[in-house]
Amino acid sequence: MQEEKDFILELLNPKTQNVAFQKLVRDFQKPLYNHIRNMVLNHDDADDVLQNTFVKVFQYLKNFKGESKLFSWMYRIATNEAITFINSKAKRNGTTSEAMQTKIVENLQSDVYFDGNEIQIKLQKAIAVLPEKQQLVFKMKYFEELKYEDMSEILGTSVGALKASYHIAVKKIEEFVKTN
Amino acid sequence: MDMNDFKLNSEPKFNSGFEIPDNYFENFSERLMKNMPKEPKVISFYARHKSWMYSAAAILVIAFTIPVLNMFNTTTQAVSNVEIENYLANRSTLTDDDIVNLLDADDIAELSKDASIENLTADDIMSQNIDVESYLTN
Repeated sequence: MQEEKDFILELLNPKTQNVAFQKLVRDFQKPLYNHIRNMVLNHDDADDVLQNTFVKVFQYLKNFKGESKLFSWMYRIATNEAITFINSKAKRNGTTSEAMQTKIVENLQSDVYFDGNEIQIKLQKAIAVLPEKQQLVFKMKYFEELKYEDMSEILGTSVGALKASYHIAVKKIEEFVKTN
Repeated sequence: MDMNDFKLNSEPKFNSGFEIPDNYFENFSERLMKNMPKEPKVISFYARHKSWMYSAAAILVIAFTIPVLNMFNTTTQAVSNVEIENYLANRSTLTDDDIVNLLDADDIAELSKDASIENLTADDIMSQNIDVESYLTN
């Protein structure tokens, strides 16, 4: 924790800022990308959102209170950026975010950056019909393998509620794959 | 695989199927830095109005300098004695008393010296001038 405090000071000090920020990007670009990509589904959109996320992280660093871990704070920003992105993209296209996400999943096979078999496509379709919060919890636990404690800090939901949410999601997905 | 056997907790886990372009992460940081907005600079009132403030300061300096320069010009301008004499001669309202009041001790000493010289000169002139009587009787 002290190490993280020192690192945050480096990020805020104009002399060490550049080097420290490059390190922050190197350390977090992959997990944050995966988190965002699982939400927005398409690579180009994920790239946009990831860039915006780091820009926001840089801009808001001076307001970072250290109440949560830097890691979960950044995940929270990435999550918010992705949700905002999905909603505004749906609005631009005159549709709802649910309808838009379902459409993207249906067209995954034609996405050059998607390489999945029949089951993986079905899995994505099953996830897309879940309520937004359950989708998020499932992806963070199953694909990103985050701990419930970290998820709790990122999403501001109790560990118990997250566990319940995850189990409901698993049941619904298994049911969907079997019956569709 | 039979879909009826589908279990999420079976091993190996399913991956999301999402792929990432080659070298994406190698170049990401560089691209990000290029697109990074420059820190918005807080422009102070002074900096934003710098040129105006310089102009205003310059105008103030000029405005205060002109009367000062004028003052120096008027005091340093030499007024010739002839001009003063003419001025005094033409001022009919100026009485002898007025002039006497303007004289200080040095002026008076100077005048008396002049007067004594004049007296001498007058005697010389009278002694040498044969027409002196006609002057005196007139």
